[in-house]
Amino acid sequence: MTNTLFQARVDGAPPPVARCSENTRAACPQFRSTVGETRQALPYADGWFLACFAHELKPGQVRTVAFMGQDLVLYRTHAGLVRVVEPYCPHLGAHLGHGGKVDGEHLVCPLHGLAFGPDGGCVRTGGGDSPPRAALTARHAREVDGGILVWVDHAGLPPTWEMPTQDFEAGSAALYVHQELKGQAHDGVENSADVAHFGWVHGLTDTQMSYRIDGSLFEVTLTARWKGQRFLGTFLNYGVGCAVGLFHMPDLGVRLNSIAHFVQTEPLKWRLDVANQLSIARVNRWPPMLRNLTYRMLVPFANFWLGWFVKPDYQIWNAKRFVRHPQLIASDKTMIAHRRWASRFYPGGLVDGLDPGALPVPSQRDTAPVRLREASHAP
Amino acid sequence: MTHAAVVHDLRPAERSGPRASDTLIRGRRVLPYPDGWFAVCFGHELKRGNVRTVPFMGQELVVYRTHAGEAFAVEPFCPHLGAHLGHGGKVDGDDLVCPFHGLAFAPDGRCVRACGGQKPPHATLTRRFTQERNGMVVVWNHRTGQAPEWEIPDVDTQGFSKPKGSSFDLEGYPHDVAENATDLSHFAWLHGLTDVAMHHEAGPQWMTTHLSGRWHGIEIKIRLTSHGLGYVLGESDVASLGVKVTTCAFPTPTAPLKWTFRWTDALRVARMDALPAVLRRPLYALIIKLAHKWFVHVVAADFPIWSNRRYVEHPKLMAGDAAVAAFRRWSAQFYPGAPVSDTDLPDIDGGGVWTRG
Repeated sequence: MTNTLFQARVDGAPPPVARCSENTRAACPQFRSTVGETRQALPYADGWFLACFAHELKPGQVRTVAFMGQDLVLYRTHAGLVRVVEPYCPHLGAHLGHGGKVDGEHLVCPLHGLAFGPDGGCVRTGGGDSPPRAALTARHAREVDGGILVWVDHAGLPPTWEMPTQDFEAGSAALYVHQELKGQAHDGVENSADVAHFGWVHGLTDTQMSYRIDGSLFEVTLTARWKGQRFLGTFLNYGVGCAVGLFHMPDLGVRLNSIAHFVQTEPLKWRLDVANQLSIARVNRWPPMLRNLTYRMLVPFANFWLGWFVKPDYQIWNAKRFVRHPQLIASDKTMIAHRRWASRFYPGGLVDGLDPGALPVPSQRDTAPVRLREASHAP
Repeated sequence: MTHAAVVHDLRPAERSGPRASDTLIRGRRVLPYPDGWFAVCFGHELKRGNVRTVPFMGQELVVYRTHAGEAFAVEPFCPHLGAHLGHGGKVDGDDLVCPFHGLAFAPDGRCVRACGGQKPPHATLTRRFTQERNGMVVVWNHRTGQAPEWEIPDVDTQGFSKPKGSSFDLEGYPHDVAENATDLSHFAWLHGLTDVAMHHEAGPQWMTTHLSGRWHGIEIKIRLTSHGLGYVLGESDVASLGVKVTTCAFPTPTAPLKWTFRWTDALRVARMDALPAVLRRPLYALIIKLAHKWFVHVVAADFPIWSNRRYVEHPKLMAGDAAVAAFRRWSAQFYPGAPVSDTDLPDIDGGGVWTRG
């Protein structure tokens, strides 16, 4: 009975199956026809990482911050001591960041009124019963340069190095930037050692980069031009949680000092917190009142310019994936040295499987100036 | 067709008490991604120089069209340092340029340029087999990475109106579109056809059902051909009105139990063939717009069922389900670890009739 019910063939309809054309069958080896790969999270790193800026935690205040897949509870006693603790009360598990209060030097749990002293020990209960032999788990924390930093170590070791304080010259008041991003915080950290992107993404020309390693410090020196003006940059990477950027445009007498903090808040989500300070040689010589007024007027412009300058990075970071086996170009020397150095902060490292022979020898300097587009500004 | 309109369960359930498994609520089973060609976007959505990011089988693909007009689909991440080419990547002539370091990739996937005139790395983008068929950009998927062995044929719509398309994000199983084409009884129960009859034939990658029925008394014949599970061609013929409709349906799995349903309709009215083009074109533009709207309304009756149904591995079939049983057997070839077991599907004779009531 086949075809007796249905005679109406649409005219010119092709046969139900066509063989594959030669063109398509001539498959290139780089073709894939299975399901591909997606982004994968790196483990959380060791070192010092920002919980919040110091001015965001006033005496008597309790804050909860997302930090490497968990919550941390921060509080400042009325005397000004900062404490960073694990969020759950050891008694019956209430979250101290949700209703917990500072009472003098104590943190009081919202559920049964257990009070914990600055050393973490429970000192009293809400109903006057004798306090249990319990203590909050505190995290090693420091207050450095207006940031509250928390120590992370997968082996549970106490801090093995300290975050140094920066000695900036006079300038504007700090200008804070908070940015929530997707992907890896490490992409932001690594950016400072990526000389080629300064040209392609940010439009710097005549870029040259060198680096120096000193334990937990990776120092990058960048010389370049921006719109024809000399642009000097130094990046001080203190571990993979903080990068101090010192930017100087000597022709204009303008300096920009940035302390950037990178924190992975959960897998494939991170936070960039930056404190910027603007310093102009000419303005610094003016009387204090005029100087402060000028800086107040200039800061919104500096803020706008900075936002514009880093915005292309945000778009890339939000969507990119971390490539463990990158296919390199010549200008990636510093970046690869940075990656080798940064490996020490990651359980399992960052460069496993990289063929050492394929890597450039760390010459400490990318000698050949990498000429990038718009190189017409060269002197 | 001589069959009486009999509806009965082929394997009446034993009237025993509930079994242990009946007390468990079993969730919807996630099927693996099937092999074959699947649409990623309408061809007209991708203009020359455009770059788009599309969800495809649990990942993303970057689709772009060169200035020469050819469409390509690639894995989204640059092999250099991992930037997502769909977020800021640009087409430069025939090349796709990464937003991060300006690496440019030629149509064959090879890196041909880097920023600052540096030597490009020995790197290639991973491309997907891509074609444009019937107004759709389609991408090949295969469990073992095998190159395509067959293609979606082009449909000749000469003399038809321009196609009009729609896209819907649904839940459930994308193969339900192809299965639907074999499901005789639902055309009556759900879509209101009467006197429906169907027979089917199946080849290696295609399966055709011939459906006839009446809609409000008007005789209608529909030939539905699935090429794999990602494309169903419907050719409807209403001879008494001299109307033909060609429907190209493209279901694409985007994530577990999520899929996108794109389809286009084109239509031909015999009586309008004689009209001068200047009159015919605007008239067709109006008719296809209204007709497509109505087809969407008809097909949308399936949406709540597709979005919520579960894949039943051991279906209890009825007499009219011969083509469904054949479909289940035929479609198993596209699924790694074939989810259908032959023993559970009775072989019902090639035809079926189902009448309401």
